[in-house]
Amino acid sequence: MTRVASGFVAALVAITALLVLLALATAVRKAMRESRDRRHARVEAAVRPALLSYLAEDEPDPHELDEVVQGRAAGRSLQELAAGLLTKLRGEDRRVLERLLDAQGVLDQARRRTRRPGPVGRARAADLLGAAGYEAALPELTRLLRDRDPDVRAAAARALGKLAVPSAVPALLGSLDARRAVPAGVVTMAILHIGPEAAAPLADGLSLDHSGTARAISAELLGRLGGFQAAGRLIEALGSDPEERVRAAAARALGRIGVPRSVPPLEAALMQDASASVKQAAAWALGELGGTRGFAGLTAALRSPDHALARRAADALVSCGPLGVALLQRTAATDEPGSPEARETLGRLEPAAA
Amino acid sequence: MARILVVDDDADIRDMLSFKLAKAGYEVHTEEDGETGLAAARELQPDLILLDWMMPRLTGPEVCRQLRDEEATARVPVILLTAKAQEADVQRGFATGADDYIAKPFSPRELMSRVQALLARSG
Repeated sequence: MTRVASGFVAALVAITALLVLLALATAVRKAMRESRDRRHARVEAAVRPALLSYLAEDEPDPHELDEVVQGRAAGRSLQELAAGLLTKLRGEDRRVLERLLDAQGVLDQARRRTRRPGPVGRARAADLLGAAGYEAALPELTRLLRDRDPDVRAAAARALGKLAVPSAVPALLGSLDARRAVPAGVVTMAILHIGPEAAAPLADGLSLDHSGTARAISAELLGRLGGFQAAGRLIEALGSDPEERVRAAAARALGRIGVPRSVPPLEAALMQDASASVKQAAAWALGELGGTRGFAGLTAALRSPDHALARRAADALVSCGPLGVALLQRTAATDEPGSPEARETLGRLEPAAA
Repeated sequence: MARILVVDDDADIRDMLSFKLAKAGYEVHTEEDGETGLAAARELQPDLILLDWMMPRLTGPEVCRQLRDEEATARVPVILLTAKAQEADVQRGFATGADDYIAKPFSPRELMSRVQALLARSG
């Protein structure tokens, strides 16, 4: 009985000691965190007004802040403040801030931070390099597209978009098919951010060396960015790409770009392609091109037993203008194939016209 | 010395504009939401107001509309600052009575030119 009691007391003492140790460890961690936060706030209180005052000047000297930004803590504070400000500025003040970051070595630090063990540090470094438009960091950001962390890969893709250099396009397209892929939406937005200069590398993205996803996105983006120089490549993709999503994207792109020589291949796709989605995309594109050049194909598509295609052809004929509407009205007055779709489309037009 | 009221819930923008405007010789007051911004406009009678669109409590256009409805503030020049840069947004901004419109991200130098021009016109 005495042995049991002494064993119980020993266990109680051990548990109490453990609880005291845990409480102490928690208190020490809390105190350390509070001390770090206070230090951070102190450093920021010195760096922030100096940075804002610097930005308020017309032609500031990038080394003006050398005295304030001393030590790692101040450098990190400047990096955080500048990263926030960069996204809110444009014009000369933005360039002033970029020059300051460069002169203070913050951007080179960020390049090194792309190799930090923690994903948050790598993602933040990518964000800053992108926001600063620091082209010298292209290799680091390209490397981060294959990072093991998905958030870092997405941050790198967004940052490459912000650099706005067309040479980033192949790596962005390649990241769609990698084992550690970047989501298509992120890649698409990044390339759109690069703008019309992305058209040339996007045209190369139509090559069969790339995956179907990369080819389809290349085609879609060429349409959005108005890559008229790539019309020939898009026509080729429309006629010969093995994947229907690529042919459909090429058809939509040709409709958006509006090059007249794309009418015959679009009509051919409308009449002969085996895929319903490609036929529908071709019908829409012919409507976007307007005029009467695609009438023969659209009239045939209006009579198609495929209701969705006939509807798309009817809508496209409306987009072609008064002659297209007249053709729909004539068809609607009959019992021929296509007349229900013609009536349906005209019915939708009437309330709008009213 | 012209008095300018900056109303924006983004501390970075508020502080940056404060420094820039003060450096240019203006008297600057700041507020961080629409409601306190409106109260400050009534009390301070500023010569110009820089007004963010998206703010807690009262949005920029709502503040602008109320300013225009009150005799004391009806003619104070207002510049709307906003990330909403679509054509319809710009139209909506002007419809509330704003005198000018700056899309974010913005150029502080361009904004300063617009402030000077508006103040010179409202003289």
